Amino acid sequence: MTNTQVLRAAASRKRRKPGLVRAVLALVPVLVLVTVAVFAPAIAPFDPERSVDAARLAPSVSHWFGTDAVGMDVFSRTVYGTRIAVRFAIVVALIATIGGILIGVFIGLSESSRGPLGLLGRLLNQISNYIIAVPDIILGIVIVGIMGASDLTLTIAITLCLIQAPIKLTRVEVLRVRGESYLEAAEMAGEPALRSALVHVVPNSLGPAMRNLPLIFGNCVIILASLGFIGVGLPMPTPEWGYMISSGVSALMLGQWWPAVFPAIFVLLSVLAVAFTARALPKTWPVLADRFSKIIPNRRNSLA
Amino acid sequence: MNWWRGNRWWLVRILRLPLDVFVFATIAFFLIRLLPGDPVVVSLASRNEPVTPESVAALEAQMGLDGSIWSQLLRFWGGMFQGDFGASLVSGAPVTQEVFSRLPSTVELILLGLGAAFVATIVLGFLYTRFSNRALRKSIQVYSSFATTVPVFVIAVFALLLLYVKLGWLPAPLGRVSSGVLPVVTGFPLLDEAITGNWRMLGETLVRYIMPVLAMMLAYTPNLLTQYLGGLDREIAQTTTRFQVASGAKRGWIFFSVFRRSLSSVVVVFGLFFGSLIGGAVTIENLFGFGGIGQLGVRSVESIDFPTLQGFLIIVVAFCLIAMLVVDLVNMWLDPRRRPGVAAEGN
Amino acid sequence: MAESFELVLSGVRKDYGRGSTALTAVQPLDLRVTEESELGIIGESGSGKSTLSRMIVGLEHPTSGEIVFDGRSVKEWLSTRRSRLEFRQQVQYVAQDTTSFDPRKTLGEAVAVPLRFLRGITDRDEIRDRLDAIAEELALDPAMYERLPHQVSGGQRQRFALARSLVVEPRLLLCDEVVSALDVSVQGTVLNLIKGFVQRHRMGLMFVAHGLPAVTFISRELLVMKRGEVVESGPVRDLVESPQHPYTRELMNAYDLDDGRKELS
Repeated sequence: MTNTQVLRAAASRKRRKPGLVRAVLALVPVLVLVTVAVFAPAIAPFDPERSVDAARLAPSVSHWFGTDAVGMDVFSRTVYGTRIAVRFAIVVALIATIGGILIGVFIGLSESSRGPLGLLGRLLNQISNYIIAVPDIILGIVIVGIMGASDLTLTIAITLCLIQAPIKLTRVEVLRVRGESYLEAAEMAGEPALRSALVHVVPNSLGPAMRNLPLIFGNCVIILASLGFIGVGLPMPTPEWGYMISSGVSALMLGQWWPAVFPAIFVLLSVLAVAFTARALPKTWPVLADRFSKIIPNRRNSLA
Repeated sequence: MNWWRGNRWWLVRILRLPLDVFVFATIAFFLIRLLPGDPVVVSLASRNEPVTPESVAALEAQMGLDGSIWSQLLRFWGGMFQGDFGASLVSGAPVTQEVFSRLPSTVELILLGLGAAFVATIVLGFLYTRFSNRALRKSIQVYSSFATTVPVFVIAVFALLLLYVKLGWLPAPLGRVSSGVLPVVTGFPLLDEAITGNWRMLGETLVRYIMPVLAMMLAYTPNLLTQYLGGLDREIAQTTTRFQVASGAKRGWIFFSVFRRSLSSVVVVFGLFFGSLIGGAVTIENLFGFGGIGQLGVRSVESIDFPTLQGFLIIVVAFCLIAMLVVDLVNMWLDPRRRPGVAAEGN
Repeated sequence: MAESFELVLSGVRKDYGRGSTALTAVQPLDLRVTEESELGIIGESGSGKSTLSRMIVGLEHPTSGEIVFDGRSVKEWLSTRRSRLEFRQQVQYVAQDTTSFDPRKTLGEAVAVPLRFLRGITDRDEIRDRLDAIAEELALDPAMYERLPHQVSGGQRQRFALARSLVVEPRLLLCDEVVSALDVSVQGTVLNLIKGFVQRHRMGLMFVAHGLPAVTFISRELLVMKRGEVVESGPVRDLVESPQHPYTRELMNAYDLDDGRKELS
């Protein structure tokens, strides 16, 4: 190879690599979070829901984060708190995104038609508009008030708050796709309307809601902690961050900062981690998706 | 006829409001009754009362859950038109009274927090636009990228740690005043303290507001700042700006024109922001021991006070809708392009 | 080989909107098209020419008047699934390619769709054969069937759009601004391919555009539209050389038919 060719090859190699490295780096904060959540039982030295020592002990070698007002190990509780937050966030993000896409597609496809389906579509859209008008915490308070506080009810409450965004995003995208000429061309080619919807509209409308998923993840953590903080979240002794912070404030006022501050730090870190990934992911996702598709062979053939 | 055409934009919006509230209330009515779980049974159980047909019926009547859903709806509508949402199971007082007696203090907190964030945005926005120092701009950008990521109460806890525990500059989070009962005239604590000449309380409340308002400012400024920066990019590229530059207007003048126009994109989101502001205010109230609607909400959850929960939801949302309407109207007044229907008439 | 057919429009009119914003896109018009027709419709934007062609294929519905294809009205054709598919097989419509292909499906998948639904052909090999045959007729490389729409040029994509319509062997083809976005050099190629195909298969052709050279090259008769009205119609050469209506005169001002044709060939 000539000198120029070698240089050019080296340059192009350098340009391609950072893309993949940067892409993986974007996922690291969230992966750390999820790892801590998954391995909590292995990481935490004590049972997070039982008193294990004297109350209000300062951070030490045996209790890295100290103990709280009833003698529970703050470190173990904080680590398990990660588990709880991540579990909720994943479940809510999945249900809200998938459910939101389905509802958004339905609304987008039906809202302009005249029959009962059109009516249903418009009604759902309007209900969604109203639910958006309710502040998340208020909605959480009311739902927990009526159904009580449990994993299920909190999941329902938070999902109800956060499903509206994917619904709206998908609906708008569906409306955009409906205006595209390939739907008309499909009609010209004799394609049945239902098939058109499933094969053309849905796949092309998924994007915005999928990109929104990390945001739902982050918002779920925030809402869960907020509800726990004001006392309508998961019942004690569940090691949930929000509740830990609020019950730690009285100790804070006496100078014993550790029961409240450590969970607060964890909330801060996880929220920042998710925000970082959410911001970096859209730029690096194409790189990752590209790599993936090269690993999985393309099974597409050219015939219908 | 022309008067109608020219003023239609705000008239229609104002007329729509009661309709929106009504429809929302009805939808909320059904939605909370459709939620699985029986508040009556749960309430009896939590109070360790026996679940007998009599006790169930009695509690149902108290909660307004007796009779068919349609009779409930009719009673609900009837009550709503008279401004009656039933009575609280905890205090016996009318729900509307319970909510309205607390709402202004929460609003005061929200307005102060929003105001502080807006001022911070103006200051940072001004610095950003005026000085082209790269380090300054980059750090402002980074700060704005934290938009809505950190919950207010978390920031407040850190502020408490620093300003109260470690430095002792500010008092403990134990309510708006150290002793005594807040005067009640309008419901807005600061205002009432000033009106009744209670200077000690006024001073104390102002000092105790420092940390919460600071926390709200730190939490909400990034969001507003993002709006400002986005607006700035847009306004600089606008033909208006280019024309100003081309016509040789003074730098300072152009700068202020762009600044002002970019700020309007911040004001636009105030309405959307209101929901998260209320949520934040509720948590802050809880942390600092301030009385407000958050306190009412939590109390109602603990005692499964169904009528209060229902009324609380509807009144708070109605209030949000009003706030959003006000913001919308102000925006539409400031910028005629935002008025619906006006653009079409220009064709 | 397409058999003969008759398409008759009587008093067809299209209105939009209500009250102060009402607009008549197409004034009442009559028209007759057969398999022998090579009809060009020319007019500027807003003249109603696109609306007219869309009404013929049922993408829009006339406010009044009737469109009858082979003795049945278009409304009737579209009323049941079976007759709708039959109608679509016989009357095809190709629009200007902006996004007339699903960006996530290959060109081959797209062109095969009408074969499946309008001709009921599901056998892979037969589909393959027909796809290859139409590619050849339109001077396309069959290897490109594996590609996605954004991976081929605009001119190629337009030809694939035509392939999709022509692969089912319709009796009437409506082209709506199909060459307007292409370079002049490419225009000639595509026009020649269309003309050749239509003549070989004895299909009727309606060609709608706003560009004079393209329309006059491909058509034998011409319809001139302005603001929804047909201001003049007749054989192309007559209209170009001795236009009667002032608008047609304006249009044809200093246009030389043979020069134009030469440029595109």
